[in-house]
Amino acid sequence: MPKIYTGEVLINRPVGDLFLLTISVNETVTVEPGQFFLIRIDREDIVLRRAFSIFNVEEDKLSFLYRIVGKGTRWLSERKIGYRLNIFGPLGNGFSLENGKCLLIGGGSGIAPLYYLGRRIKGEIKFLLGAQSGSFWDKELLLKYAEVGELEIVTEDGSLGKKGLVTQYIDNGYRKVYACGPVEMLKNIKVDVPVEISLESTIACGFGACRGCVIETKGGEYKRICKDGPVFELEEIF
Amino acid sequence: MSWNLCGIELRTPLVSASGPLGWGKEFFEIFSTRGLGLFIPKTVTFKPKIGNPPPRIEETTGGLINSIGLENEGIDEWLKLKHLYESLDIPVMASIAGSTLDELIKLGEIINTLSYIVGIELNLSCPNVKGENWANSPNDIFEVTNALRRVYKKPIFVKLAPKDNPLPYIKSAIDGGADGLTLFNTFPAFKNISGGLSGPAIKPIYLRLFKEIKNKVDIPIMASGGVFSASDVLDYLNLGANAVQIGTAFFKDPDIAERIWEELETLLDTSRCSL
Repeated sequence: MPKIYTGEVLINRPVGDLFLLTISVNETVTVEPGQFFLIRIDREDIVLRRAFSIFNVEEDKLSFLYRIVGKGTRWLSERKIGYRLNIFGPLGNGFSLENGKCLLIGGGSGIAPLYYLGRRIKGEIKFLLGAQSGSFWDKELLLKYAEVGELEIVTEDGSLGKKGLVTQYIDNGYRKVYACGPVEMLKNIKVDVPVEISLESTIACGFGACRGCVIETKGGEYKRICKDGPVFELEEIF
Repeated sequence: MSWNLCGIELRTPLVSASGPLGWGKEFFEIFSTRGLGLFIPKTVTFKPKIGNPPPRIEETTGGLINSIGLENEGIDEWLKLKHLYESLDIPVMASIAGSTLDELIKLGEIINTLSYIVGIELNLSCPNVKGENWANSPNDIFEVTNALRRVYKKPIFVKLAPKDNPLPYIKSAIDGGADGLTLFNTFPAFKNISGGLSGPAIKPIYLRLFKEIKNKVDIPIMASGGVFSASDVLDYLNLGANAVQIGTAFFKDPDIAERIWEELETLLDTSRCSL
């Protein structure tokens, strides 16, 4: 059951273009991979919390990986160690875990939910991570992923790993594919095994009440990203 | 200390505005009624409404624009929440909207039979068959309120749109038979999407409207617009509101009612002692 926690900042620093935030909530929290938390931005001119999928969970420590995209995430990036954040979660439906060989595709900041997912899958996994340039991640961050599974890097400018887009390097032989990243990336995943994707949206209530974050499914229905998702079957949406 | 709206006893003057918390199902699974005096579920319509295509929300500086389009599953599904509403320890007021008088009358007749609903808030910001909001015309306000009045016996609160000169609209609602008013609905705005603006950004505008009508309205008023703190509540109470709605602030703090009430209770005690 989600609730409001006070989370003390333990780590909040750049890991390439992304930031790694680790907070301690002083109690053990059960979180499923793909679920998210809403972090309160303590500024009077910001009314909505910011939604972040879980990057890692270790006992009472919750970690998030985020990119500065506006004044809310800018504010977050400026929080010092010891700052007490107000966080609400865990929210949403996470990934369903498959116990076989899985491919985890992440584009840009979409790599965030894949680390904890990779840790929780009992089976062989491969990460296929993409960004515009190699400087997007720092070495320490990539090593974390490499500790959990096989790691393949793709950059648009070819400065690290293979050159191009992750969708050009999807190989076969997996029981299941998980993906998170830009819509264009998700739309171009063509495989013949089940694909689960995690979607991003501006979130208001976070628990399915306000209907602010709906997405239209292929069947023409509106689904709430915060409650019915953020994880969906690829074929349901695109 | 108790608060009263047309005979409806409230334990606090804090009301959850219709919309942000939906019909309450998801919210009350996680949170309690603590701090709240009255719950108003999201507007119900006669038939299900699919709502507007996304994107439906856009944050602005100090505010939020929404264009949900009254998405809801319709009255038949809403009636299934009887047990939830009966189980709450605070009164529940229905919010209704319709695009035709016929729909509104049917809703009024159905809700009139429900002992667990203490009143109706009439949401006029629904486009009518001509595609215009009822709330934009004093004649429409009169006609719609009057139609509901004939079939609904308990208190009716008419929720009006913010208008530069609100008195003619208020007069129409009163003439039509309103027992109370909810002032005001969101403010029309645009940033990437067209919709209604809520949040701290609109509060100074709404306070000015309240100043304009102070001492000129003699039926109970629920204020709504940018309430995020106990001092925001006091601002509206001091300008003649009988209760105050909280909406967008639930997004920032789902436990906002409890937070505000703790502070407000102390402030109200202090101000009474100093009288």
